[in-house]
Amino acid sequence: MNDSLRIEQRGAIWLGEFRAMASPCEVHLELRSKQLARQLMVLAQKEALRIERLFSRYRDDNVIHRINTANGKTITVDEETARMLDFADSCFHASDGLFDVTSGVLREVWKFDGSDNVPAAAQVEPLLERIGWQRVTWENPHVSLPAGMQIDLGGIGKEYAVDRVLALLRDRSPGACLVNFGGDLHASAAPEATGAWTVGIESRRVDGATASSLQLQRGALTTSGDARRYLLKEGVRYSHVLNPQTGWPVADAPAAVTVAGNTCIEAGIMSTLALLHGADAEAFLDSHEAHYWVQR
Amino acid sequence: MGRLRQQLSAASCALLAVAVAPANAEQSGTATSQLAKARIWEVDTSYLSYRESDQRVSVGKAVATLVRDRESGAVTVSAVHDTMSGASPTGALRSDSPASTVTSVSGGNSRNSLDYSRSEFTDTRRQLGVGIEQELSPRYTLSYGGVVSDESDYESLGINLSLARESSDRLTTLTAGLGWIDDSIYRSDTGGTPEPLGNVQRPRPFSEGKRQTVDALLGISRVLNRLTVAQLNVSLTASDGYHSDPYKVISAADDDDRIVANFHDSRPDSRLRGSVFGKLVHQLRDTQHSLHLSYRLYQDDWGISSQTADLRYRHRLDGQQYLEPHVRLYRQRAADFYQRNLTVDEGSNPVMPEDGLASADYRLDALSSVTLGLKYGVKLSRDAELRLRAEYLDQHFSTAVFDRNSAVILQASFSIGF
Repeated sequence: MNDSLRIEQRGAIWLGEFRAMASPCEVHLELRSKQLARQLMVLAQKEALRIERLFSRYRDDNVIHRINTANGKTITVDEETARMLDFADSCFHASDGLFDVTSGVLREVWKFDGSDNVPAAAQVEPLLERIGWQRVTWENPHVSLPAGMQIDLGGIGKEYAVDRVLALLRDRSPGACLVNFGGDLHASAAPEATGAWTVGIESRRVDGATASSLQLQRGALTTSGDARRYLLKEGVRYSHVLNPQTGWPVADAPAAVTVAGNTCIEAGIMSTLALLHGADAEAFLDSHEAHYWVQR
Repeated sequence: MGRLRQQLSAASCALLAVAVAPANAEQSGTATSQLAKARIWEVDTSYLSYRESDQRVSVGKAVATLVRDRESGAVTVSAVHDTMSGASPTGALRSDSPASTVTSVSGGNSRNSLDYSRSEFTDTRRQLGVGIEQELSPRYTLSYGGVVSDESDYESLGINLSLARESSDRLTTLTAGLGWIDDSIYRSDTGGTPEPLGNVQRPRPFSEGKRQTVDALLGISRVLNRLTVAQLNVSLTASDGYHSDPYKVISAADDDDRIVANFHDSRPDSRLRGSVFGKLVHQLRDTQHSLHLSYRLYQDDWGISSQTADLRYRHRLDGQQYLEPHVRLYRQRAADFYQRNLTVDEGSNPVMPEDGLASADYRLDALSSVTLGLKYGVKLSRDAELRLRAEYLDQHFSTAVFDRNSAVILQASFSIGF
């Protein structure tokens, strides 16, 4: 992992860039001192990498690994992990089981590499027995998973990191801050120099016309979509958005859904759930009075 | 970033490159025969730093060479370790979007920006080479060797063979050489190459990116008089296979540079290159100072032609030290399929090239460059030498999006024989 940090000045804003959580990460700070900007960027980078270590499913030295390899035994988790599991629990119930942190095992048969490698129903079916948050025993701070099940907080980890890093910066920076990790972003306040952050929405259309942009004063924007990962077989496009209850891709999912929210983690759940509603994405978002932009 | 980085890495040493061939020739002409053949081993180590302005490209190159030299021939083993990083221009126009940041589907490797005009990279290249020089008879020397090179998105394997013949008066050396290179090119993020002229936002895997290259060289060097050595090389290189750059992009845009779409680079699947290189080394009468003048003419079937003039003056400060100012001028004509950007029709649809070829890579643009440098060398003992070199490179491009580039090159090298 490359932990280099690049800093450059753009008008009244200091922009810091680094990589974490397999994504390009940006921190925008409206302040004068390069020294302070650098200090805060370093802090932001450290926090992002800390959260990556904490919740990555690719490591064997963190709490996720301990939970996933406990083989039915009960694990006691730290406070921060407990808050994440509480949040995952709430989301599961609020979405009637559509958002499920145990659905990651589907990746064993679904590999979205742009090929035509669609699994057989007989391969998907057995996995469903290993999915379902309702099978998890979660009594803060004790968690236990039936053997064979796994949890993956990757779907909310990045958004959580954005909110955490923004909170750290907001307390320490004299001016407005914006944090953007892999396209999910959160701003503390409008920059004084311009009155708003200009945020582009990446276009997913084939002919790639320039994306629209919007003015953000504060709050979060997240985008979920399937355009980068899919399978194509006999003219049918299989999106990487998998329904945890069927084990199959959601039909007619939008190419991209962008949702505004107070926090990144909230907006992130909304944009993910909207995708999972497929053809009804807009109706779902309308019913929750969300601010959104859908690209089909 | 292999193809690009390999070339940049090569570019970082381009200033050296012109010097390399003549330096060797010089050695075979005068230097080696003067130096006592008593030393059998020679170790040469160097570190080169190449830094472009604006954090475009930084290369750190460490080279270690071990030579075992005997009457009957020499064996050379060299290892190169390059670290490369930066954000280099892709050829795409800078986005007209005023956005300071972008919300997007995660999973991409690009920045959180719609601006495709620069592409970030970090990579490491390792190269190992072996060369053997064998004296077949007092007048014939056979050289052969191989090189392997590896980085995260580029693998290369090369072999070469050459024969040198000295005239009976030992004043003229004729050299004929053949080389063969096998390259594999791919993107480090996808492991493949994108479809040429495919839309950047919907990349489709294309091929494995294989390329074969054969080159042939004919050279003559001749001692004209006690003070002057001349050299002439003619080389021809033919390559076949994937020649596009998997990281380069060309924008389709209207007259106001509003981008309609960005496409992957697309180049011919073969290339034929020819060059003529001449060099004159002249020692000023009654001094130890010398003048090194060289000129190179290059032409390929992509429409690129170039001229390079290189002048060095080596000024001996005393028996141990010298200073060497250096000027190099380079001028290049653009490739036939080079375009700053594709245009759009009245319906704002990109106008695709009829022959399917288009590249906005600034290195294929018409360009001129000037290099100024200074080298200092000192003999620390009979068998040990230290060299320090500083150079400044200034490039001007004709129409490329980033129309200027400059770089600072610093190098320290140390050689010792025993």
